[in-house]
Amino acid sequence: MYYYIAETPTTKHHQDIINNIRSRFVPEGIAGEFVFRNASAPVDELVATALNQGFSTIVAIGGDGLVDEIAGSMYDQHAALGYIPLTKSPLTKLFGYDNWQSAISALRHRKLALFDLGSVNGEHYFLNRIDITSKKDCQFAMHMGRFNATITTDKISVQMPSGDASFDIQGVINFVVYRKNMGSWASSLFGGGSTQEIDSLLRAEQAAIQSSDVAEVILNGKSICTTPVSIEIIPQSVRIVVARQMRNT
Amino acid sequence: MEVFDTIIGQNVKLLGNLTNQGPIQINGIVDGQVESGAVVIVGAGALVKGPVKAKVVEITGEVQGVIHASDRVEIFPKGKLVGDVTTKNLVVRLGAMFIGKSQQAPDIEPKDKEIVEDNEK
Repeated sequence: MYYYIAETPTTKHHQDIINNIRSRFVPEGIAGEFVFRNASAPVDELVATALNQGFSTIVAIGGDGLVDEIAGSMYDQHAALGYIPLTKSPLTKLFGYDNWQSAISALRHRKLALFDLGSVNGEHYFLNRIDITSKKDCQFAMHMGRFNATITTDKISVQMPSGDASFDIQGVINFVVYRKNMGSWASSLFGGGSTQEIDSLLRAEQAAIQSSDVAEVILNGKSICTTPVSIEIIPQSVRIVVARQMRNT
Repeated sequence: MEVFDTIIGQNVKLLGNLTNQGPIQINGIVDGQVESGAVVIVGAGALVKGPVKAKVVEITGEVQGVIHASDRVEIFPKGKLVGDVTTKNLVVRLGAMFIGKSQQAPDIEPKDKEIVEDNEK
C-alpha cells in the first residue's frame, strides 16, 4: 500500500498538478493514504506513522528536499521510497523520471533499487550533494582513515555516487574542490551548464572535517550544521522506486 | 584523456597512505606511501615524500622515495627523483634529475628499455 506525503502547495499551479496526480491513483492501481506535510505534521513523524502502519511504499510528492527528509527517516527499512516530482530536478534524473506522469508509471511497476545514504553528525540524509563553505579561504583538516589531508579553499563539495553519475565508484564519498572562476558552482551538475574543472578529488568512506574558520554545511540550499563535521556513507541502505529502464538492485 | 580517481590539488597537503586502484594525479604535497593499480602522475610543483608503487609513474614534479613500477617510470624535464627505481622501462628525459639506482624488475625480460640519463649525479 502507498502512503503519500505531499508538500503543501504554494501556488494554484502546484495545487492543480497535485489534484491531477491524485486523480490518477485509483486508475493506475496505486491508491493509498494521502497527507500534506505541514508544521503540525513533521515529515519524520509522518514517516514513522506510515512505517508503523505497515505501508510498503512511502511516496514524496514535491521537490528533492522532501525526498531528502523522507529518505533520512527510512534508513534500513524494508519499505520503499517513491517520488512524484512537481518539477524536473537532479533526483528525477537519478531515478529515471521525465515528469510526474512517468513517476506514476514507475510506482505502478514498483521496480526497486538500493541507494546509499549519508550520515552527517549522526543524522541520515540522502546526500546527492552538500557543500562545506566558508566566507573566505581557510584550512580544512580532513581525517579520512588511511590519511589526513589539509586543503586550503573556501568550499568543499561532498558528493555521493548516486548524486552524480560521473562519480561512479560506489560505496565512497567524493570530496571535491573545483577550480575557481569556472562559473556557477551549481551549474556543473545534471546538465545545468559547463562542466567545472576538478582541482582536487579525494575519496573515502568517512571523513571528520575541521576548519580554521567556521564553515557552514549546506544541503539543498539549507544550512544543517557547521564545522567540525563528521560525514560517513551508509551503503545501499534505502530502497527507492525507479523507472523501469534504470539499474537493477 | 585520463580520468583520475584521485586528484591531489596544489593547495592540498596529504599525510598518510594513498591507495587507489585507479589513476592518481598529484599536484600538491603527499607525505606517505602512494600506491595505484594504474598510473601515478606527479605534476609540476608536486612533492611526494615516500615510496610509490604503480603500473606507470610519470614525474614532472619531485619524488623523494623508492619507486616500483611494473611497466614504466618516466621523469620529464624539470622532474626530479631522489630514490631507487625498480621497473621494466625507465625513461629520464633531457633536463630531468635522477639521483638513485635503477634496477630492472626481476621477473621481466630486459627488452624495450630506454635509459637517457642527462643530469644524473
